[in-house]
Amino acid sequence: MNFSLLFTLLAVVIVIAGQIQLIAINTSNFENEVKSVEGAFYFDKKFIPIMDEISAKVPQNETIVMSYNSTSLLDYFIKSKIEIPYGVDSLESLKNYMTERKLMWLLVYENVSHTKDLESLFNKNGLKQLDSVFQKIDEYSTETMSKFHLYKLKPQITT
Amino acid sequence: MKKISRTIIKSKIDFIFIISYVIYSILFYAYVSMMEVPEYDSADYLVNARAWVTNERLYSDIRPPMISWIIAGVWSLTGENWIIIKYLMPVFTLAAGLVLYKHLKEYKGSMFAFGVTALTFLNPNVFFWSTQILTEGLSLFFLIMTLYFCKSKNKNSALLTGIMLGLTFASRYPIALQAITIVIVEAIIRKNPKYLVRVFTGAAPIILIVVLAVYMKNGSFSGAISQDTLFIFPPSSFYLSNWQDIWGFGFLLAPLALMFRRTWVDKYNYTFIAWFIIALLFWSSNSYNYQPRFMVQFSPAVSFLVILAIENISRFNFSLITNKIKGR
Repeated sequence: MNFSLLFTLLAVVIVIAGQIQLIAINTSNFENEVKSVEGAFYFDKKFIPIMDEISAKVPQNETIVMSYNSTSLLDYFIKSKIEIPYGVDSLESLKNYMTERKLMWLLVYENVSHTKDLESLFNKNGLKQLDSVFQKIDEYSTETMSKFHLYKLKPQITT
Repeated sequence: MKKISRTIIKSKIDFIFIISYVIYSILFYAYVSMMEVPEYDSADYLVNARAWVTNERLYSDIRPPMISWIIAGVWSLTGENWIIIKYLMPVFTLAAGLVLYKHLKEYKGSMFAFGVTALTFLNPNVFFWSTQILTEGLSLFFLIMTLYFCKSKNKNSALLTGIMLGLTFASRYPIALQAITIVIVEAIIRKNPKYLVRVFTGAAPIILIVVLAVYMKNGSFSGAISQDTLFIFPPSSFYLSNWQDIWGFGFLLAPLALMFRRTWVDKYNYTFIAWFIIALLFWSSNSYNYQPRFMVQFSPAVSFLVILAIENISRFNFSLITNKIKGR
């Protein structure tokens, strides 16, 4: 009996079967991982057109205040500079922050905030409070159901 | 007659490799074309590329500059367009596959080279992370080039090895350790300490340029975020406990390769053994950051050991053992 041939075949089968299993497991894992990560837009066909639309609406020399920006994705695709309002913990302080810095534009990533204090303001129900201070310019939904809301500070606030 | 049949078999494997390579490239680019938005970290490299050609500070100064320099270079010819970069970066991974096959074919034969290359590039981690605008594929390419020149008998190979080591550093800082391991083992095999000096003569200017360029641009140089520079002892068992999800069942054969005398007779194998052990120890020694993607660059070493085990099994004389048992 040729043991070498037998064991070699066995080893080859282990490697090939392992590889097939590995590919099968990881293919579904990657897909799930991509879908589960907040703000992962790999396969989202709407994301870049939305960023282009926002860029078209906001003059390039004006800074956008954003509720959350953990990565450079928006920094790359939005032509304007993006700023996180660190230290802001309420609608009033957000208004003051923007007025003091003469910033007009607010981009809200719905349900996401850089600080817990603003989470209630930037969730679906809390967004209504913004209407007293901001004028809603537009609302955008990506394929992955992430929502962006673009606001402009109402003129009377800046005077 | 035997010579002719061997040549036919060899060229047959080359032919199969080329066909497989073409199919793989098509699948690879089909996946790349599906990507509508870059990965998080990819955006850092894109923003950094923009910063390198303007007066802006780097968005993320922990990122190695090589990939952003390549992006900026391409953009200077084509204008800023991330789609071009999306299709450009996977070229480095595909090129790494070709060089790995060519190199291993020379030392171990076509069949062996095909096995290692196929096993490496069919690994889902290698496949997925190399399709992104990230440093995984780029550093894998320069690491394989370091190996290629390191083993070359060319007169200027030491200098070229050094340049490739430097470029490995420029493309992904921690991967330089794997390149250094390959070089040190080669110096030991050659019993020639001067070889090390020649290699580092090639590497030092590139490393210096990279560090100085980042320092001058941002006023500081840090190779990683501070948490990533904390190491622990004993190392974590994360990668070994997740071997099945990272490398598949074939990984079981890697330690088996070390048990054959034949493995230790051929000094060429030492490079891959050290490459595997040092890289695994390094990533396992990190205090908290464990990710299967970190295994991409030393996947060729793992695949090498797996195929080596199969080769050893096929050439092992099992009759000696069975005769011994019968004799008893």
